[in-house]
Amino acid sequence: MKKNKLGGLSSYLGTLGALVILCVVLSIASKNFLTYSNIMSVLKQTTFTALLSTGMLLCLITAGIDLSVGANATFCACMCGMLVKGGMTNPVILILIALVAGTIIGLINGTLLTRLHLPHPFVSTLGMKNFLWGASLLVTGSQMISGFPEGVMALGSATIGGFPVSFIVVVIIYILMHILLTRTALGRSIYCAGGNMEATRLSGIDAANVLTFCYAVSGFMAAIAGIVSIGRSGICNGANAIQPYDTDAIASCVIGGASFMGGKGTMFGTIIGALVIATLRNGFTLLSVDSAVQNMVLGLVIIGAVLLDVTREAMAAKARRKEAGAKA
Amino acid sequence: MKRKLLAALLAGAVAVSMVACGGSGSSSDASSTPAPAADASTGEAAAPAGGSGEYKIDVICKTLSSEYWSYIQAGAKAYEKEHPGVTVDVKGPPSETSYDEQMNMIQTDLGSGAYDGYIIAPLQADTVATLIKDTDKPIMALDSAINSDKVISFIGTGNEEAAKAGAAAAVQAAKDAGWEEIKCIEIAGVQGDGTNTARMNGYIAGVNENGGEFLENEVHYANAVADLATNEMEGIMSSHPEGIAIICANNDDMALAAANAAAKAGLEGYKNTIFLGFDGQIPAAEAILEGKMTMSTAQNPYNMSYLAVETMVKYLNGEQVDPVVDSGYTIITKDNAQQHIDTLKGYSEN
Repeated sequence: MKKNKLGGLSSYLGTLGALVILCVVLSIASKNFLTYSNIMSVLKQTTFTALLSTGMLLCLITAGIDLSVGANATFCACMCGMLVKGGMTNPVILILIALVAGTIIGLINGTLLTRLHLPHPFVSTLGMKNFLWGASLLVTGSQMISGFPEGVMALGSATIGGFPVSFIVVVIIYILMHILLTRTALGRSIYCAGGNMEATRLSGIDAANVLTFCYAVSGFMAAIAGIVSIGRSGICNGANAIQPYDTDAIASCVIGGASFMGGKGTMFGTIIGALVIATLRNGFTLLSVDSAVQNMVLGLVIIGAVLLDVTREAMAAKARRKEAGAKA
Repeated sequence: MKRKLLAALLAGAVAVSMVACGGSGSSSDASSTPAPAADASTGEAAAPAGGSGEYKIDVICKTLSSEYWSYIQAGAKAYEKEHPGVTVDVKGPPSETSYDEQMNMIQTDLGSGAYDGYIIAPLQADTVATLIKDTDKPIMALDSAINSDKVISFIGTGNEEAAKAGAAAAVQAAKDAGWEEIKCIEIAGVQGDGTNTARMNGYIAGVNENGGEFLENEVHYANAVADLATNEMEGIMSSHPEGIAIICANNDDMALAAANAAAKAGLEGYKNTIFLGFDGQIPAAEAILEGKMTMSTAQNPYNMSYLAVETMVKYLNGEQVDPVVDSGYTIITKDNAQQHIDTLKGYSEN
């Protein structure tokens, strides 16, 4: 048991090391990197991806995927925008409606997968992404909407001594999700569902409910991300729905040790993954790197992370065979 | 053990890629001024020296991946070349819809405190207004205005004004071509888009005030795409077989597409029609030279960014600057198209 835990640690030790080295290199390359205000910028920019990654991680652990997270976040922001345009100013109601909308979208994603038996969620959530893109444009009349009440903006814009409140929320959510994943029966069921679906069913776990729960959480987190985005940008814009937020979220999870094969991934690794991406982007801007080069490097990092995932998988399999051999 | 090795390998790979990027970034800068090199090596020595005429200015574009924005980049860099004390960083997100990335760029650069002044071409003006709310550094808007009291100057061309001048020139050209009844139909861009509305208002004023008639009820929206503009032009020719004096479009692509559609149909009524575009980019200027379309209104992005950096430096030197700096426009016709092409090509070679 102890050995297992150590194995888990070393799996994201590499990612942590990459982040540290990245920071050291950037500190040397740019004197503006290691300043308080810049580090706060990085944290602010991590928030959105980090929130989307929580839901994405749950889906990845179950060997699924949720490609609609980015569009869902935009849609939730646009729902708020529509209400604000219609004269609604109560922040509590606005936030509640966004959260409910996001969660319902997640529930629908989960239901499509588990009750209507659509094949791999890649297809259904991709369809949902397109649907939400259109819906976002429709509810806002294809216009950018600003003038959100302070209460809605606070989550994304408020700071305590320069430290973004949104990142504090992220930390709390990550701790709660970590406890959920590692200390509860539901958490174990989620890992189980990703490992072997048939075994999960045979061991008496209601796999359909577990999966639906994961997609609903993903939708809920997307809604929070949507509210954060309103606070950060001061507006909502339906055209944002096709931005590659989902890829960033997937990349964060995979860099952090999650696998497309399911059954793997931790909250700690994922936040490191999200930080790596935000730090890279921040560094590119500080060093005025051409945006074409930025795209190439980010692409390479994603490919590298997947390559790492595959290699890790192969090594784990080899280690298992060795262990089995030693026992026999 | 192997895992640790792998971990170190990943870390190394990320580090190497970063170093590689840092290298390419500063090498491209180093060619223009010695200042950026100091940035990487000596650290503190590159701190902004206020008041002495040595400034570091940040230009954040809507994107860098289009012809128009490459001229913006060239103009800003030209100023840097001519003024050794001034360092200009030009950056931009991958596309004009990369809202989030531009937002992050602005946030990062404002937070870094590395620049003395910021020139921003906003993708979402309201977002930028939110981001710059708390800054004490001077901000100027480029190309599109930002509605904020933090913005000291807007440097750009009024789309409306430029379109109006283009329309006036088109009416004159139509008169010269022998049209007695000068009617104008617009093939427009995206409905509800601010630039599209401004250009349309300019066309309406320019045509109506110079003795023409802008058919406001017959505006055809073609989403700024050539393919749709062809369809719309075919529609116009069916409903007006007698011919229309001026077909104006929201951009060059659509004007050229409309002109091609008319040429293909070969209707007598459209032999002398004036096709008026907007932007005046190289392919359009070449088409004007070949007689495929008639004229185009060109904003001057190179001037725009040059003026923007100049205005910022003036402000930093404590001089008075205008709240609106007009970077001008040019009407491209057969007479000056070649010259225009040569100028544009000259920009990209620098």
